[in-house]
Amino acid sequence: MPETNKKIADKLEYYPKNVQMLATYAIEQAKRINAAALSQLLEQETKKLVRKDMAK
Amino acid sequence: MILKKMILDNFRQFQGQQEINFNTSTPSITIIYGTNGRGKTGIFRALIFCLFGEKSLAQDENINIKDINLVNTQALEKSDGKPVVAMVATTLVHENKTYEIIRKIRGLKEGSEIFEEGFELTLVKTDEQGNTAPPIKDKTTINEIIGNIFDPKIKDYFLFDGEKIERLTRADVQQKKTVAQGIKNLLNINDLENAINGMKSLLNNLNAQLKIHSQGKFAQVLNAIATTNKSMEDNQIKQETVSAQLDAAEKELRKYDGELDKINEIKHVITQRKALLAQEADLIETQSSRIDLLRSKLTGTAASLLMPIIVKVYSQLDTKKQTGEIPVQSKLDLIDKILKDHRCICGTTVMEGSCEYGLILKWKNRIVDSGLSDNALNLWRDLNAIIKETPGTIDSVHKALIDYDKNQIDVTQIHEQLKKISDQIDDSAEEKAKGFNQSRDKVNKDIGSYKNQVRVLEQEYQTLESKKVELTRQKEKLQEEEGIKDELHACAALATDTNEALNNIFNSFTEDIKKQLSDLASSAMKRLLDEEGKWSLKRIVVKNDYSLQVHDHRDEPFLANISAGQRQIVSLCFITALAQVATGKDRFEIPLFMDTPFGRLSLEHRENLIGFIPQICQQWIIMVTDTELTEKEWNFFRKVNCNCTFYKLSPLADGTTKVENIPVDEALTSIQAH
Repeated sequence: MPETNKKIADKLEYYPKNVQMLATYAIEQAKRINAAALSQLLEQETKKLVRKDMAK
Repeated sequence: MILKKMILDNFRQFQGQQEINFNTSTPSITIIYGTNGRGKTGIFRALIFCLFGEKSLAQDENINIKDINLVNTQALEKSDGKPVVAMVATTLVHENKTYEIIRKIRGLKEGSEIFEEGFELTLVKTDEQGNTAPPIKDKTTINEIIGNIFDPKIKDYFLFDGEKIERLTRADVQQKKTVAQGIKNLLNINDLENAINGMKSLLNNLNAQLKIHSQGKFAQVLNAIATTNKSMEDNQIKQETVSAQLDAAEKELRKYDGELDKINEIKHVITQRKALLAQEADLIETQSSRIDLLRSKLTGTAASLLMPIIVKVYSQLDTKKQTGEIPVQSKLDLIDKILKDHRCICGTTVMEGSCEYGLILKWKNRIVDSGLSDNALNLWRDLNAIIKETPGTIDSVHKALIDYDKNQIDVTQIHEQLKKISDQIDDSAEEKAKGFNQSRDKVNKDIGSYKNQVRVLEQEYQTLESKKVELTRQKEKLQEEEGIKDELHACAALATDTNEALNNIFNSFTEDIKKQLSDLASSAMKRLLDEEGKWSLKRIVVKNDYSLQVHDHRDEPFLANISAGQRQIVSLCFITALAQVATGKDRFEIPLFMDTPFGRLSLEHRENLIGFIPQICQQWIIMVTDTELTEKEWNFFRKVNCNCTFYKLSPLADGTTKVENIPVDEALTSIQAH
């Protein structure tokens, strides 16, 4: 079986840090919950990342 | 993983306990040989049932799962209404550990109905030192262990039947689904797909919130984006609906094709019956004309019965005619003149009272009855005609009678043949075929309409996508112009970028895997095709819509033109490529279990396949019918450099099947016995 997660991480390296973090978080959470519940979690995570960015 | 042993107990056709010891050398071939209905698929079913608890196979798509019974029906008949347990035990070796999986199902027959329920699953593990752990009974734990050895998601690429091979060659929705699912399973990208869906949902939420907080032109653009998103979602739903309708219609079409195939099997008998009926009609017409002929000859035929009398009367009349007695050679008026003139035409005086006068008078009296003379002459003529014609009439009547008799034998034989055919086939077969053809035509039209709808929807979706790209560009421009940089916009921007990144990765994965599959399948195709095929077919391509295509030597799409055998080769190449990609190795370490794979292959293709599979797979278990394995194919197997085990499925008197291990040296005799 191809090492999917490793390959995804490799491919994400070419994207900005925030995108990498949000995408990794989305895939991790997607393993255990459905798309609707995932959307709420992602909104919180997105806001967290944006606020951190804006605070810089 | 290597399959070591399988024990079947009261499972399907196999009454009582029977055992198959697979060849475990690497590489190896285990051949399971049997005529149709002997239980080859039953063995395949046993493996799927034992490892994954599944009752149905791909080929059961039109069968209700309740109608699939795994418990041996003869054992149920003998049980007097008591439950009967069927069992499959599979022993396999994985990473030097031995696993024995035992799955049982209980069946009960009530009247004509059979009820079944699975009720026991056990796994026994023995490590490399030979230490056996206590049996595990917990289903979840067992399924996890089996899943780690043999991921159920990829089982389809190692265990497949003829139906699955056949399905891949069809250019329909089912084929695309099979290929797409195969690729997604191989990539293990379900989590990635779920993440993309979650991200899409987040984007919609954020855009909805932005819409509430925005005014003016920016609001219009956001509104347009939301409307476009909604249209795209609606389009996707419509596409799914139409695809489902298309899928159902294609299933129905296959059902009709299946029925027509069955009728086609007896088509030659129907054609024979038609020919016999035409022949019978011709014969009956000929008989009728012979009867007319006999009727016309009836008078002549009757005359022939009186022929001796006719000949006798004719002879007498003829003698009289010869002597001039009939017809009378002189005229009455001439005699009267002689008597009146008392002078004969020779000049002699004929006086009244003289002897000459008396003779002439007597002559006259005889001639007076000239009507009688005419009648005699007519009778002479008629009899003459009858005598002349009768021999010809007798000959023609005799010939007509012989012909009639011969024809009648033919008619009787044809009747007998027609009766035999009627016993074989249903009189309504042709009517049914007509009905199926009509239904098939209708479904085919529906399929055309659905395909057209899908095409239109796909085009609409592409237009909407372009519109969305343009609107997003406008939105970003307005954001910059109006200096809107609040948190919501930043969140939406991050979500948009992340969504794009995930989509790019997903596409990149699928593109990579499509290319790998195309390359491996093309390489296998070059090994398997015959010389003509190698020249004319260049490569197998997995298209963007997940359908399979074959390119010809000019690199042009050519799938529509290839033969049924070549289609099967394309499917086999794709399946072996999937298996190779799944294990990530050139020779995969999972058994390749094939049920009747040679169906449409030519002899050369069979030889190539038999030589090729052991090179890419360490354990090949193949189930073949008597039409697939003859002396020729057996010789191909013997030429392959790997160990071989041969099992034969033999019928028993009660309709059950016995599994017999035949030594390889005796296998050919067993094959030839068929």
